[in-house]
Amino acid sequence: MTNATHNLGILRDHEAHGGSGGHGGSKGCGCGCSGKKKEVAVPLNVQPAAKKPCCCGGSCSARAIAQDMQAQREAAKRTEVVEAERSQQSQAVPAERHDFSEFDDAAFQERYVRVAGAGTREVDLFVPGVHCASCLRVIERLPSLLPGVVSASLDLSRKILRVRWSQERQSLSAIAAYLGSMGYPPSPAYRAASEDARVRDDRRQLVRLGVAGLCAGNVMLISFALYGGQFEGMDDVTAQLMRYLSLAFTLVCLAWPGAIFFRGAWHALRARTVTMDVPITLGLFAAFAWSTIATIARTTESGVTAADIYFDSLSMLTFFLLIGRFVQHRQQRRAQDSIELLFSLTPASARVVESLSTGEERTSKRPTSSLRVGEVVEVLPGDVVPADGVLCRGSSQFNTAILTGESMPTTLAEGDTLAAGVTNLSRPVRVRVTATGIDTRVGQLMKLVAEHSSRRAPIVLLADKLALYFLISMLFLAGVTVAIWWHAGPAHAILNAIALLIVSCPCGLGLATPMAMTVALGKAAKQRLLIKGGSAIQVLAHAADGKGTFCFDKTGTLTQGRLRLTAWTGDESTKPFLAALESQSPHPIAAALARDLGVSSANKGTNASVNSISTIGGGICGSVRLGGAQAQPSADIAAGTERFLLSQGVAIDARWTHEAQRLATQGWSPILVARDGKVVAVAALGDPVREEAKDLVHHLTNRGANVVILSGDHPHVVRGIALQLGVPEENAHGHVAPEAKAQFIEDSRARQPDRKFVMVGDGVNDAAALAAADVGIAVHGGAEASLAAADVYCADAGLTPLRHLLDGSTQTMRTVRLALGVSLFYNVVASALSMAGYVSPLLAAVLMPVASISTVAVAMMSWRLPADSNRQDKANENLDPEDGACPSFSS
Amino acid sequence: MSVIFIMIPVALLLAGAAAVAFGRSVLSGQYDDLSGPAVRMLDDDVSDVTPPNCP
Repeated sequence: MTNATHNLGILRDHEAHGGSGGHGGSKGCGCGCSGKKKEVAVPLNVQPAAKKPCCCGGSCSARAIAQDMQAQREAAKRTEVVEAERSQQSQAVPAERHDFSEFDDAAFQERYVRVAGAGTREVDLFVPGVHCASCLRVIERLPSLLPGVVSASLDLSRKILRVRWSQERQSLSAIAAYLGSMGYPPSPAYRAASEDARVRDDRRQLVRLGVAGLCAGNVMLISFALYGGQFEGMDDVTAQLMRYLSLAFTLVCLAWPGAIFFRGAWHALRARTVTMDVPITLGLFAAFAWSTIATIARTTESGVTAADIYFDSLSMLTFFLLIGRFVQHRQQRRAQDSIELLFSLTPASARVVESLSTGEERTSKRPTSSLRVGEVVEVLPGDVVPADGVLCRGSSQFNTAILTGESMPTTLAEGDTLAAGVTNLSRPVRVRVTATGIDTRVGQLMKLVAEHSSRRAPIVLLADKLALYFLISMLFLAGVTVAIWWHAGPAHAILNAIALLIVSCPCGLGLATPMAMTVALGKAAKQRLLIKGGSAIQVLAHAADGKGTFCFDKTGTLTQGRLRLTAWTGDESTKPFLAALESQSPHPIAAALARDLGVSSANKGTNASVNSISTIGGGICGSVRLGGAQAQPSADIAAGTERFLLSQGVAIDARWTHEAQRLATQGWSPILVARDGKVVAVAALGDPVREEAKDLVHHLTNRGANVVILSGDHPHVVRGIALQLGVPEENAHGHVAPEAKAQFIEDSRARQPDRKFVMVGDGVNDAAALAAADVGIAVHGGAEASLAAADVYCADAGLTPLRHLLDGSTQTMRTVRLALGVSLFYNVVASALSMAGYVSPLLAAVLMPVASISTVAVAMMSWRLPADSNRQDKANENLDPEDGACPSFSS
Repeated sequence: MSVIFIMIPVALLLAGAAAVAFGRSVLSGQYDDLSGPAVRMLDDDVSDVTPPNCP
């Protein structure tokens, strides 16, 4: 798998440590937030709620805590000593494995903390552990639990906690540690520089929508009066007052909320393109100009019928269109937010080793951003290397998946170079930093991602493609209408042309796409598929329709991303011996073998005794006795590569060499197993293909799409996988560096400009390719970098979500076309009516909402999926995701 | 009919007041988090709860 998975794993560790480990004693339930919390939150002898076995993934224990706190508060009222004791308790939160000391570092504070008034600071923390109402109640009690905290407010949907505290009375690390001890380990919230501007923009948009609605509502009320007046009779002064009133409201509506269409149209025209904004603007403008003239001309008695004003249609149109935009915008923001949150999961601190003048050494935790070239950092097993560097003490095995995507660990020794983001697997090492931040290999890769993302050509939405034809036909028909009605007088002819422009104003067209896309994005999010924008759906539907190339990363995407025993030929009776031997080694290969050979923890230590064990590069050997000291003889087992066995003096039969080679051509790594100096079996290790991968590839190729595998792994392995999946050999590329993946997509696109390229991957090594592709899809477990670069994120494991994504996109585009068709049909009918001179403002006011509502109704049908996937979806909703790192996207 | 000349300004004033109130509530961030407040009100102990603060 990739680096991020490891990061997440570490975080989960923290959570476990902060939550149920710690104080020993009260291990309540397995949901990671109960144990110690009860002890901290209930410092008095208040009986905590009964410890029931917990299965709801957090909320029930949080509820218990809330109850505890209720009891605690009551107790607090009884005695004054409580306060002192409580604060003492809170101060005494012990520094555990993660002590959050980097939160107090100057560099950290400079980056994340804001000054909020005299003596108080403010920080946004990402708390992935919050799930429900109880969590919110518990967390927002922070000011009453911890002295010095002024306020704490939680944004439940984004899981962002904003804490304001007094710098003199409390340190941020203590607050963070306290939160951690409550089971909500915080991390600094990634904050885009544009965040504030974004929030302001969101709010302004909502205000605009509100104003448009208010105007539209009032204009409608007034026109009801006017239409009533037409039939019942209304005196002239009142009618004219009504008209001026609606003129005023419409003016406000167009000048303020409606201005975004004018601006959009202006930008489009300057860029020499036509978007939907252009016909919208034309219709709005023509109708407004006419209606204004009609209103004023009426007072000057120049013979124009003042009944023909369209203010009601105008303001309603603006309101409807704004609703479409707003909903679309909101949905996209939500998806972006969720992805931003995943950024914060990067470990932010490094253990820096400093030599003191006394000759002693001291390690301190510092934020990664404050690292300097030349400093020495210590990297513990399970930690991620914070910067590029040279290994200067110790040797260990590393998971380099971040750069290669490969699942096999690499052994590195003193003097070897290490890249940031690589995970240390076995032993603590020290690394001398050679590059930090943006200068690291990963940093450069991120730069590449940013470049590709900004270079990506914008996708023209279907509705915008229609806009030009729409505009031309509107103008043409308007011209025809004027010509037809010229004989009845210019005023009459223009009136009919205006009627045409307003009734054919693409309200339904403008609504259809955003509505269908929004519904689709929402439903997809419920299925834990995060889609950043409607254009991704359009491209995916296009690509899945046989006009695209799907590039897959291998490790973790097509395969399961972890080592497994895939084949065993030879002596079955040796299996338990080998398993016993391998269970003694922490090496990932050994772990995989021990697991898959079926060693349960029960017989691991008791039945087998391993006398001697030695692991040298490339293998393991030792003597193993099964079943204690009884009759069973001991066996000398050696397992490893051919070279290793030869070095151990094992005779290798040609038969086994052939077998090993056969397995190697299938893409597996063969391991020869020798017993008492003779090879008796060959085990094959590999990263097996996901079950659903074959179906997916079959499905795609059946529909005419190309499938390509781009992997950093050995070409042998890649070819083996391609063989299993039925991907043509020339489409399976091995040894592809991260930069080359992006290059491959760029090159292929240059060759086939009309094809759409979809990249599916999970690692940092795929990030650049994800950004370069027309649509990048990051699959479950992906590194945060790939999430940032991708347009779609599948939060559920496996490739089944991908299938849903493709089906849903195809279905959505079908719905969009249907909705566009319905709205075009209305336009055609309305245009014909107005050309025939039958359209009055009243009819226009009725036609338009009918058209819009039916379009929206059609659009609501998007992203329908078969019943079984819905059921599965429900099951997922109830199930709390195992990884606390993935916030539930369904909210 | 002359009553309408009083009613309309009154209606306009009301509409204007509503618009201003809405604008203020949005700009002060009351619509930023739509799920938290619904839950927050379930808490009976009001004194402990801090109002959402906004930038």
